[in-house]
Amino acid sequence: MSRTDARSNKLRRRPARTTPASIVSVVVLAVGVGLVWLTVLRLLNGRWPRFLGAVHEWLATLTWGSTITVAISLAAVAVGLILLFCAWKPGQPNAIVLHVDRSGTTAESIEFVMTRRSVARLAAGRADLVDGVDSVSATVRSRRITLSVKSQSEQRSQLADMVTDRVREALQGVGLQPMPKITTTVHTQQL
Amino acid sequence: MRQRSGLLNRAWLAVIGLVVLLAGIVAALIALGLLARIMTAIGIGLAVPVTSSKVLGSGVGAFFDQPVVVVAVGLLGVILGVIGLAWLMAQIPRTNAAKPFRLQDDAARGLTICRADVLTDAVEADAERLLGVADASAVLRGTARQPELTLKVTVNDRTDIQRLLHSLQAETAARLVSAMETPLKHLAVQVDVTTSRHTADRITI
Repeated sequence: MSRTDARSNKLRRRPARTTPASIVSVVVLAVGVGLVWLTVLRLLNGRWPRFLGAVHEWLATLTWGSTITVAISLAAVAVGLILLFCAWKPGQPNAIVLHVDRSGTTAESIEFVMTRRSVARLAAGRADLVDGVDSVSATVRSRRITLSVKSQSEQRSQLADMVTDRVREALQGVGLQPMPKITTTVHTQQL
Repeated sequence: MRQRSGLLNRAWLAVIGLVVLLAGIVAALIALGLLARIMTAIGIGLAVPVTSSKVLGSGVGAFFDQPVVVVAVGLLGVILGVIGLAWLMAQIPRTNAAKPFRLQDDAARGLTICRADVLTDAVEADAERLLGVADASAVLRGTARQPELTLKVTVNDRTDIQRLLHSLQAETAARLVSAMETPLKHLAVQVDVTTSRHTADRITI
């Protein structure tokens, strides 16, 4: 459950797996509502709904070795593995920690972070200022920043080095900890 | 800033995933005729279905016609429905802000109650006056004796972020500490960068 005790969580966190949890919770809710509805019909009419009888007849013809049974059991194995994978895989943290001088602080504990999206915007913004860069896009993971630069310059490696140096200088000034590795790729655009 | 139910989600996904996986593995072993061989090889003498046997036994219809089973199905539906609904509601992100602070030492002398949003409005206004800050939002959690401040500041990409963070500590948080007359238990700041070049009253050229 989300906290209701008015205490803080860490700002830097792993994905909460909201999407698979929402899907599974809707399925559980639907099954529960369905069972209640069937029970109400059974109590009102004195017998289970007719469509359940048709389902029962079909299931009664199934054997364990039939193709459908094999397919359903393998599908259950696949679904179980997917859910376990969603639960186990940590995922990328949403933010990177900033190292800040604690002098002047009035708190027992501190946490300063910058979201990965913001680090990407900052890196792309600084890279865009380098002469020769036409456009740039940045992707940030917790330990690596990948910059894709479009330029009309044929001096790709020199431009890549300049962009990398400029972005590294900017990010060192921000105080990212740990400092991600920066990789820049320059694509020359034909006029 | 808002809090989500990450731990709850991963725990339930693991439990349900494990149950479904085990059920699927057992069903697949029976369907492929391997379970009987495995049981024999281990030396367990339990009777297991073979590939030619029916999935549903002949007495299933009569079993589900018993009144106690009908009620049990209904109860199971209610339980699953409540669990599913509670889990779905837990996906809503919550601010989880502090309740109004009681700022008195002795209740016999009178009550002083201060809502957390009164303090956070002041903190936000204070933070937005700092150079480079386009927007700020704050949440106060904890208690009057151990407050916890979480601040999100949106800055442009030319802001001196280290200087800003120092100012937030030494000025903004310090003024809150002075107002509440107690040090912060925890200070958390999230910095977001915007590519916008203007705030309400400043343009960065």
